[in-house]
Amino acid sequence: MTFGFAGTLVRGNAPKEGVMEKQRGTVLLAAWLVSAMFALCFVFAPVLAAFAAEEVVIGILSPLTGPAAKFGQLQRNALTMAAEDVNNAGGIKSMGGAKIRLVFGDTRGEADIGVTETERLITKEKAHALIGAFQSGVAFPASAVAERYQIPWMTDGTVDKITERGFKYVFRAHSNDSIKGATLVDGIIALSKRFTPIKSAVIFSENTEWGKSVGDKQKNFLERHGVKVHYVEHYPYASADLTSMIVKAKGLQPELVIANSYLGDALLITRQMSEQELRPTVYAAGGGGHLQPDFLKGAGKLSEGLLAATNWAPAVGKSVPWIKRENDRFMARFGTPLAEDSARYYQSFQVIVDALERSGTTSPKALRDAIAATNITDINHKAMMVPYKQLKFDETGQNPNATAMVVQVQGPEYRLVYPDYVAEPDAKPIWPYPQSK
Amino acid sequence: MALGAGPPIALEFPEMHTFLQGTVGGLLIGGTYALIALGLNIIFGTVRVINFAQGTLLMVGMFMTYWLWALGGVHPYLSPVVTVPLLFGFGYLVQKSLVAPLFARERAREPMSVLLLTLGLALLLENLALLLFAADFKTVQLDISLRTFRVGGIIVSVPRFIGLIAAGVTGAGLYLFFTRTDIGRAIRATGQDREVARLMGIDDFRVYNVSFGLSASLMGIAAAILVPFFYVHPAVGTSFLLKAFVIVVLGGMGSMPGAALGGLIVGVIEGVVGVYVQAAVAQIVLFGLFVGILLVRPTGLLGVERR
Repeated sequence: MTFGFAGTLVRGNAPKEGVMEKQRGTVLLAAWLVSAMFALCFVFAPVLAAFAAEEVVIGILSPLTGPAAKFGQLQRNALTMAAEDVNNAGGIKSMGGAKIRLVFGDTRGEADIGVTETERLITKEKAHALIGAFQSGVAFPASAVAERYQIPWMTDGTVDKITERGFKYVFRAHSNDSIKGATLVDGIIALSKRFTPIKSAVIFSENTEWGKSVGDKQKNFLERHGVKVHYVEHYPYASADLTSMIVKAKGLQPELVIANSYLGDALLITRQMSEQELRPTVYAAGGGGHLQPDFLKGAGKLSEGLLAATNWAPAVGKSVPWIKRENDRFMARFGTPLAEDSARYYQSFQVIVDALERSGTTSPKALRDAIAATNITDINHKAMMVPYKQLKFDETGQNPNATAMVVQVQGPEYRLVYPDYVAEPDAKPIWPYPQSK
Repeated sequence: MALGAGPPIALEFPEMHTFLQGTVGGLLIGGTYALIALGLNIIFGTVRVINFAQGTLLMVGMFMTYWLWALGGVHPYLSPVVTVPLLFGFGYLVQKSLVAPLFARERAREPMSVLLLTLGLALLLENLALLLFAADFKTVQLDISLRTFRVGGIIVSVPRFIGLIAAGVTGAGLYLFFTRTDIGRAIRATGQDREVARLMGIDDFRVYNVSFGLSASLMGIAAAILVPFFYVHPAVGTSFLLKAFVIVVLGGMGSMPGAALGGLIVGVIEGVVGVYVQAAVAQIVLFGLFVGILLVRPTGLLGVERR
């Protein structure tokens, strides 16, 4: 060992001088550049500020990289388009045409990064309001940061308890897991009454915040309808292989399998169900990955007949024309339609815009009160991207009138099949799941 | 369970059937785990560096395989012809132009900076992939993707079975390479004792370059195995890298047969614990094993204690 040490020593020392020299040069150059930039900022910043009207900074927390980056990038696109629209139409009128500037924080889908990014957006970027964070596991701790700094936070994430902590600055316009779970189960039960009965079920749920919350909710609702739920399995998120979980479920021959998964796992489970011949009468999903266009591509014919709970589907545009126009514009610009989560981000953004118009200020308290006083019933209001009878917030910050929908994969698209008032008249439900035959 | 002992036995002993199905499922993916762990171990065994970029190299291999299929119509099983030499060259260059200068500069035998460098490389490549290919989940649809066959009532996925065989053949090939060729022996000699190897006239830095290249090229084969039944995504390496760490520690750091055995064991533990308890519990068992082995038998099952 001593010998080896000496060897590396000799080897290591010779080039070190030269490297140091070079490094010193680089450091000097970098230091010079940085000081120059600082100087420029000091000279121009006041000039720029004088020309600009007041600016509204909205912070967006999204998983822009990491396994869920696919979702995050759509969210960013949706809000980029929405903010440009507001700015091009003259900004926030009650604030003298103040422009909106979006600042993005990349959570990577991880709670601790989401928390530090939230801190950064509030303290460094001086965000006046925040939207985030797609994964409930991230939104839960990150929204607590917003509450601590008393900055309004529009939640994206369905876990109920995000709005059940007595917070004053945390709001959610869309449905939570309870509403969504109930809608999925109601939809399945309603269909089963038309076709064949469902007696038993198995639920696969990923093991982060969302999966843990939604799986147990679905179990309760199913049991209320007399369906025996063998178990809810919380499998590890982003698994390399799930053969064993599928094999175990197969032994129970359930008529219903519900999966609550993000995209990678959704593909793996769907394919491994086919391989291991787990063939339920109904294959359903709580949302998440099963609702991504890439799921249809990846799962191919195995996706046909899947039922899934969603907050939103492009087919809503069939009954609300402006939503179709907006989605078409989005599609023309970014190549993919809006998805449930990007539509929800869009909605949250419009709730903030609406509140800004009423408050006329970015003062956190006034803005918070304006959001709390939201009361929108006009279906053509942009905050109705996810349409309900009424958009308002109860004392917990949840929109009590939010509803969910059930879609079914039919051919290359998701068709709305439940509840009846949004169901597409020409979308005939597929029953049973074709792979079960 | 023997061939032909089909449904009747499965009905009589449903427990046995489930157990076997879990074991077989575990073995099938275990081969791929082993291959990735082998890649990690080749670098650890010679360069004595934990390569955090191993999972990312797998991701690079999977994207190459995917694009060869999507753009050139090349069947994933033929892609190693292209990906293996390319990845070898890439690994060789990474070692030669990134890791070697650090080795030359640092005094320590196993410099921390190299470990951080591999981590940096992993993040760089992952973000580059995100930039180039977005965060789409790409999948390859082949006739065999979902095909299965039965052995005595046990379902065997065809692409996974091919993967196990391919991993076995690759492992055997590596064994021959390490025992029969000069460069293979030189790699082992350097792994055993770098200074003595150098005294014997072995160019240790060239050995490092080749080891790194070899390790990277194995990811081309692992990619060819995985792409037909898994998905391709910039973060896909993470799912496999953590398991590869467990395998390396279980089998013995630097031990090639250890990696092969460890891969299969980890696969079977996942399969069996997953069937009887839960997939999540299987992960707890694996990482518990990881910590336990480090405490009780740091050399792993087949590792040799180093001076």
